[in-house]
Amino acid sequence: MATGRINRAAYLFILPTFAALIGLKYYPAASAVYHSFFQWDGATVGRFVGLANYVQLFRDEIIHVSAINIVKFIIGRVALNLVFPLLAAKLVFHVRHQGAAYLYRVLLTAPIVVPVMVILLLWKFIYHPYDGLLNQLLEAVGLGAWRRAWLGDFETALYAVIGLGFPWVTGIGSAGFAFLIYLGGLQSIPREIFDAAAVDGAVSLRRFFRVELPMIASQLKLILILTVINTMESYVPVMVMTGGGPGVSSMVPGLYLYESAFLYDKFGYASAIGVVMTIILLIVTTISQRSIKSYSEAEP
Amino acid sequence: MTRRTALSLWFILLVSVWLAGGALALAQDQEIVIRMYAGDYTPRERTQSDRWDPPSYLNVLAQEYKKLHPHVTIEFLPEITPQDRFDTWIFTQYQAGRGPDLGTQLFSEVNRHYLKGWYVNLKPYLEKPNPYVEGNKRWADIFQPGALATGVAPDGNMYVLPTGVVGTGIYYNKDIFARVGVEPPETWAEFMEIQRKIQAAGYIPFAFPMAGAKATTNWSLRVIQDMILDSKLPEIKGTGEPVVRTMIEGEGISQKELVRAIKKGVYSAKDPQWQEQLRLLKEWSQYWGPGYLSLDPDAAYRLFVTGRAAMLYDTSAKIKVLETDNLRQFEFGVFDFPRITQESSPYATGVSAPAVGGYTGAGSWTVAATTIEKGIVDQVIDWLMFITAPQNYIPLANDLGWYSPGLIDLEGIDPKLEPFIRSVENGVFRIESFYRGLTVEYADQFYRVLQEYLTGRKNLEQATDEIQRYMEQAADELIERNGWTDLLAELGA
Repeated sequence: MATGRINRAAYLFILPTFAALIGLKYYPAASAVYHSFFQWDGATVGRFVGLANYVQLFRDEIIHVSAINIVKFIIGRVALNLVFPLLAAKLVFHVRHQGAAYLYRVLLTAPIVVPVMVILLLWKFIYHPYDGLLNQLLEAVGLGAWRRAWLGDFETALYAVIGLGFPWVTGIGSAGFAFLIYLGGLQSIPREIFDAAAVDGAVSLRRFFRVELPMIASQLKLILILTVINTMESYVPVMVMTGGGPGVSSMVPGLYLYESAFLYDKFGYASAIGVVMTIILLIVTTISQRSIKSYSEAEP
Repeated sequence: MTRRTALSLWFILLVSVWLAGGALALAQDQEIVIRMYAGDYTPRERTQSDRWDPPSYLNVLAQEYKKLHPHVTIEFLPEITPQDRFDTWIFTQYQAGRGPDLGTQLFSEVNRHYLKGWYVNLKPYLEKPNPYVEGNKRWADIFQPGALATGVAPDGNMYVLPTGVVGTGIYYNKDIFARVGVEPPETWAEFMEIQRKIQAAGYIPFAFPMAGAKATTNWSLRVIQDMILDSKLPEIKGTGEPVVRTMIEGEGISQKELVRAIKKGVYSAKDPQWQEQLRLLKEWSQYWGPGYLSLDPDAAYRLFVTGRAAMLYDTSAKIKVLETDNLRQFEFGVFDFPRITQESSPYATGVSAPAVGGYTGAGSWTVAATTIEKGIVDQVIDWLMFITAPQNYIPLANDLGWYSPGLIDLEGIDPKLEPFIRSVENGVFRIESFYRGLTVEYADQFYRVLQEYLTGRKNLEQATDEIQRYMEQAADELIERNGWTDLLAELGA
């Protein structure tokens, strides 16, 4: 009986969380699905248009370009988030001096606290065609011919946004935690496994690929899924750095959704974009979830 | 924790919320807080990163008003820039019933949103006397007729009082001009020639931003289009009569007239006369320096103020900024946009360049409809009357130094603003299709195609095919949104 009372009290306490979740997450999502069948300006009563928004969406050239861009974006960010924070974590993991390891950990994670907007504005300045650090560096090392308006060039704008955040150990947003997650994963590998691997002759690269990497597969999966979701949803870096331009060369679906809703008063159409993005995200994350098996999930 | 404890905690929480709400309501009975979004006029302290003095005079006015009305407090909301961020902010604020009690918003934006019921119709209030203007019997009488005309919405009501007059001009570096040995040009041909010389001397002739705000491109095209289509405007208007320039934007060719012309094929991107403006802009773009597609207005301004670029197209808002900016080490002047002559285009009629500007500066005042529910609408209007009284508005405008208030009595206005005001009084552009003329979506679509055309990724035919398609979509959308059934009937649709 006492347990039942405690449970009821516990449910009572989590009620506000559920209420907030329903009000702030599930209701807007359901509303978006509903309004995706309307021509709606976000304020006045909409007009039911059936599947017209979805038909328009598949015919929209900007959607086609932004879909290709987001695939490039996801591939780029996944590669950066999987490789560089992992390399850094691996290096710090092998630092024997405790004090030095602590110092490296702090130095590599400290940039996480810098607000995203500051990082973006800083990189915008680094890419500046006249005063930017990147062009000045190229000039200084005798590669002046490579100078260009990185964010104003149709060929480079998208890649400049993908590549911001060098040396990519602490990415922007939640990807910034990748380094810590990898390091935590490496530190949780039992010492005996390394000893056994050493006896079997697995050292350096072999140890990394045969022992460490399989043991942190669940961390890799987590970062992969988080990066895919964040990149798909994210539009702020593009909005701040290029506004989707020049032309639509760096446009992404999230930014187009935002513009359709708030600048063009097409909330119904924006809802349709959001619904399709959510469906694609669900499919991609399900595939990622199933295709990578962690050590504990692996067949014996 | 027992169930009784949990329930007790919930009870205490609810009672606390109720008591807090009651106390707040009690306080509200005694005190009125007016939330004001003043845009460029937003008062703030100078920070270390400021290179010029920010405005602060609204604080003075708020204090003086407080002396007259001790129960009223003015709360200034922080300024939101740039424009697209402001659009999002204002939309979400109004939708949540938190729109500023008194705000400033461009008339075109207000016309886009007035059907959503966000604003108070100011017309009846303008018929009342302004108690802060001696002998005034009708508040409307203190404003320039153009200001009042600009504020009228398509439904005939007035949801915005656009009182900020702004002008534009081409700012130039006198030192560079002297070193290169050139003078401010009067014609397009001269304009191209001096830029060629300036470029040859190693300077960026023109700081032309095409990232971020699209103002410079829009202004340039409005001016060029007005001159290039001068002979065609009567046909576009549909009257056959000459279209005169006035101080009021949209009075030349209205949005509805433009839509009709598009639907009839009179205004078309496939028309060589229309295409001439793109050709001229592309000709000009060779002097904008590398990387203009990634230059935002701030970066362009910096190129100019540091003496690397010789010219900058900007508004009257830049005078005070340039005068007080400690980065500037040169003398500057301002000249009007050059006239396009037959020497440069077969479509030129020799008409002078129109002004770009009008009643589109900060000070386009709106009152939120929620002030009626809150019972403070009269107080908000009273505060607006106080601000717009000439003895208050002139020092407020001079403190900012960017815009001239659209008042009849301008005694005491900063004389540096006079050339801009005069140019606007001579008449603004008569036709606009790149920003406010059609839809925001079309403006963005056009701009993106234009960037591809200017950089050679699309030729004129490809670009204009695409622009024409977007233009027709925008026209159809406006017909539907505005319910122009008479236009549909006229077109036989």
